[in-house]
Amino acid sequence: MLDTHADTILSLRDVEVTFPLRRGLFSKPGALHAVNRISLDVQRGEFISIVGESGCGKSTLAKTLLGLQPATAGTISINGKDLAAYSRKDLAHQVQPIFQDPYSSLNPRKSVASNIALPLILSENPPASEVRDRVREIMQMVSLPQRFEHTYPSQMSGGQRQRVAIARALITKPKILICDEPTSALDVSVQAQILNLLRDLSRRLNLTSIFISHDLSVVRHLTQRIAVMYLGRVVELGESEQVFNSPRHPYTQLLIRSILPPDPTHRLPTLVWDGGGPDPTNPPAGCHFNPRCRYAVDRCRVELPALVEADGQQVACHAWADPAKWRAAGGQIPQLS
Amino acid sequence: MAYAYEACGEPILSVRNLEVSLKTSVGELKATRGISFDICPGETFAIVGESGCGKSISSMALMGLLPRIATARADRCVFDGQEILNLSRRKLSNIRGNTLSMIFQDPMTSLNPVYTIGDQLTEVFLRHGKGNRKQARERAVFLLERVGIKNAAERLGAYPHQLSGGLRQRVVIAMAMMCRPKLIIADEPTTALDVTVQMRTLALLAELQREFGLAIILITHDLGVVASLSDRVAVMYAGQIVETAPTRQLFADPTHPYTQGLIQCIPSYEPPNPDAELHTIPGMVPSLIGKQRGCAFRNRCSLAVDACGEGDEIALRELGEGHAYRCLQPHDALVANWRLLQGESA
Repeated sequence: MLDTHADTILSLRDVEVTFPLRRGLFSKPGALHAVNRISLDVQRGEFISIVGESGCGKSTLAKTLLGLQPATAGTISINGKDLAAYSRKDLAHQVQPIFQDPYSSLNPRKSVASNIALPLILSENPPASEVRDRVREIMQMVSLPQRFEHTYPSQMSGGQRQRVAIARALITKPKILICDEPTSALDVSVQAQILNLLRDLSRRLNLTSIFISHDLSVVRHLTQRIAVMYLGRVVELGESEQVFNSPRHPYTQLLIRSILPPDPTHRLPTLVWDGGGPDPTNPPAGCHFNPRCRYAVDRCRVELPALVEADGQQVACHAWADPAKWRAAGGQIPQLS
Repeated sequence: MAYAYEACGEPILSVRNLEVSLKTSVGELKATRGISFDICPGETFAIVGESGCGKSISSMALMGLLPRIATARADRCVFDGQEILNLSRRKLSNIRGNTLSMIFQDPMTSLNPVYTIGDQLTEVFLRHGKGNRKQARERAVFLLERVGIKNAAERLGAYPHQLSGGLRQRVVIAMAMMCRPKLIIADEPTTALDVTVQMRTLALLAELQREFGLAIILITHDLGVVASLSDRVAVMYAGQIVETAPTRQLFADPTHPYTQGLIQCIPSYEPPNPDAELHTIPGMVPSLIGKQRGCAFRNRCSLAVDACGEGDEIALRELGEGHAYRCLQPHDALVANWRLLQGESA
């Protein structure tokens, strides 16, 4: 991961985003590490997913990549240039977002065409005729009929609105698309349309897409690589198929077991209630996952595991750092089933 | 009749031709076009469909929680031997939270943020005259422990914001159980929860149901949830039940073209073919304003013929064993269509 490829478009090094916390007037100020030392290289044209549950920092990471939330430590570079060195206008030509809720992310008082045109006008301000042509071109690209030009978002369905949001993201011809749960507010039949469209567009335009989701089954269909986040850290990173077929980290295994397939013969696994996710303002010592992990040993409660290479995947788990030693010490190797 | 699969004796809830309509500025919107079903004691009946199909508004009608602009009528709507549709507020509030309770989607909005969970749990119990404060407290502690909340007695003093989303939904489930209900209507009970928490919450619901012999109406858009929890299922589209079957049967032999499309477009966990497109249902849901004719799905259906647009509604066809569908096509043509769809994705 640390060797820089020639065609790396986005590169993160030890990125941290920390929010100061103050619980009470006289208490000691604390800190919430929403994103904790994340390093990642993304290749041009790659479709990569970041998966995790609420509070794991995936949306904060998205905001940081969009320049909406400054990183408190570490560096992010896009095309070899530091993110902070980009002006807002230049950044708009590099990175564009698609947000979860197409009901709140579009301006309800502007027509579809003005909603789509806004990033273009702000960044390039071309003559009105060019704006119109480019809006029409992009609407065609996302399969929005031209008759929608002068309608308002409130007159459209969720799927159509999300197409507007995609068109708006693409109008400045960005290199990187950050999709933050773009389909979780949509119905399944519409979700499939939007996922197909996103995949299609990213191939056609050679876009680099970062797809943030809590839903592993959606991600599997789209992406080449998956990064699993837990409490601000990447706990597993690897090729999509490999992560699905042989998940290493106990948390990834838990996520995969939690998928409910549309199959009535599938039995609900009997799991004891583990209290759910821990408090991100007060993460457990050692490996953050240890209170929920059935493989945890004393070492896991003290020492934070580093992200290490294990058969082409990267895993932050003591069991996989040196499986032979782990077994010799009486530990069990985490298994999916 | 396809309304109830097994002869369960007296159904706990029996609904015939429930119609809910909303008065809007552009005309009358038919949210449901005559839905009928029976719920047997102790079973889980799932109602599945996409937003706007009428699944939530029909449960709201049953609970007497419709907005003012809505009116409901039915030939029959009998819960526990009593007609409940359009009952007076006073009579309804004797049933609601008592023998019939509800679990809503978002535990943050269904709990009152300014009362402790203890107050909210015991209130239901006391309101329905099930006993005194001490008994209410004991029941609350028992149920909180039962839903897996540690230190239940201490937790009674906690406010909703002090609990995580998963715990809050457990409190809501415990609250629904306070008066030993016969039927719980669960409207998207796990949609707002994280995936690992969702699975545990569903497992808990299944356990409670076995233990207390509850009937559950499970309203959801998620076929994975349907498959893992329900005994029977009704698929709704544009205000109608288009197919109903025992859950295993529905997934083994999905018959209505809409059901087939819905199952097919789930990004499933199994087939990882990077070049296969996800199946989609083309087009969108029709407007429900004004008079509806024929099959509501015909403009998105690959098997539609002219006759699909004729008549008031398509009749329900019985396949036996509680499986019925609302389509003009014969069963074998639909089976062939399903094979074709599956071949497309393989």
